[in-house]
Amino acid sequence: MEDKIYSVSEISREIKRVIEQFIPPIWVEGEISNFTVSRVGHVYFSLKDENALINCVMWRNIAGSIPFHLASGMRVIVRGDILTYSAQSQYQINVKEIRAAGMGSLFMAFEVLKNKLSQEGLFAPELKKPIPAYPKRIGIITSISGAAVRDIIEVSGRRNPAIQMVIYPAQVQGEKAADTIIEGIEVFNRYKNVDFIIISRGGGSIEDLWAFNEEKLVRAVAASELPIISAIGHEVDFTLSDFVADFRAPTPSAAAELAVPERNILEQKLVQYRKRSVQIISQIISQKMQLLDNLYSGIIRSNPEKIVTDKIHNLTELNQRLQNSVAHKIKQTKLHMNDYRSTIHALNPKEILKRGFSIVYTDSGSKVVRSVNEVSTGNKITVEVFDGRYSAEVKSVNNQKP
Amino acid sequence: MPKKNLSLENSFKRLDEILGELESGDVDLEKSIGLFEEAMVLSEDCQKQLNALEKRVKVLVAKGGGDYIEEDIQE
Repeated sequence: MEDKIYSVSEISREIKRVIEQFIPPIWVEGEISNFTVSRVGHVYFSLKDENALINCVMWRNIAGSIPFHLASGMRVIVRGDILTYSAQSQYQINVKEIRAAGMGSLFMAFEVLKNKLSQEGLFAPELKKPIPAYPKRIGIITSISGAAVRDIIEVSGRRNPAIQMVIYPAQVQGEKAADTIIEGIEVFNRYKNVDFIIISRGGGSIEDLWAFNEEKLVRAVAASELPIISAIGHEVDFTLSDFVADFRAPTPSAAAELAVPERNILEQKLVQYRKRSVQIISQIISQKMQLLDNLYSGIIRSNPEKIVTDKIHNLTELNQRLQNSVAHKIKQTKLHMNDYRSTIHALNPKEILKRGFSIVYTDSGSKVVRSVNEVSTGNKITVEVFDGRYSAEVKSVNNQKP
Repeated sequence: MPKKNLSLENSFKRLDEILGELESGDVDLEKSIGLFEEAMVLSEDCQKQLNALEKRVKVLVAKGGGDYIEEDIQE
């Protein structure tokens, strides 16, 4: 019998038929690897053991109902049927059910080492060194051909082209990775010609990132005198190097965003400094001038010449007041004197004579007659009126009052 | 007068200090003028440092015996 010649499509279809017909829904145990979730929620991963690996897909409706968190490194048992894609001769398990089967070996190793280092205090926050805010040179340990280094160079250049990047080309995956990264840390620490180090690698499976969980690397990161920023994998990937680094950036670009200060902002800051300085210095100067002004008027006030002038002025005023008061006194006195004079005048007996009174003296003219008893009939008397005297004789004496 | 070649970090720190001192108001005029001049020179110097453009990306290349040299690379 002549051998049948299949077309590619025919043999693909045949394989598909055989697989789907002869392999019923099955249970498979293995470790999750390459775990990813698509934008719409379908879950893709591989199941593997020491020797083999098979791809799995879990559609969104199944994935949404899993009561625990799936991650690379977990050991699981899945139930599903085999899907084949003839177009690429590929097959995968269409997962209908999944159960945890204890932690995967890598995951376990990770937890054990994490606990050990944590107990040693390697992750203590007080061990974290601050990242210099104004670096001039940044050391980068990463693969020279990876996307991570391109991201960092690009972001850093955009933010501040004056900052220099020094790359230590390292292997970031595989058996030698930890050693080359450690070498990079040692070289930068030996030369000390960068302000800090970024250790970076793009995303990958837990196996891809495994070097960053190796104890010797984790210890080298912790021992570095230069501050270290870790930027390993994606935001969800945590390695032990991240725990000991002085700062963990979620991605390589984020590391550059965080580590490289924007030149614009620094320049604005400088402008602010200058503006503020000018403001303050002019304030100080005008304050001093004000002070000087005050002092000057103080000096003017205490000028001796001014003091003398003031005193003279004072004296004149006093003098004036004195004179005024003396003059007043004199005037007062004069007025009083006038009063006295008219009073005295009024009291002058001779004045009374003008009004028709007369004074009678005894004949000798030496004694004023005040009583009828002082004269007798026939006595000569002298009578004084206001303009002269005349003599008279007493004709009778009558001591009865009229 | 400011020391030469202060790092950006120290320059910014010093600028902060100077402004603080000036703002405190208890420095004499001569000293504040000195501080002002220092601030101007420092900020000028910072600006120069910010503008300095060197070959931006270097790569360390092993020379053997544990020595490395820096080489420029194309971005």
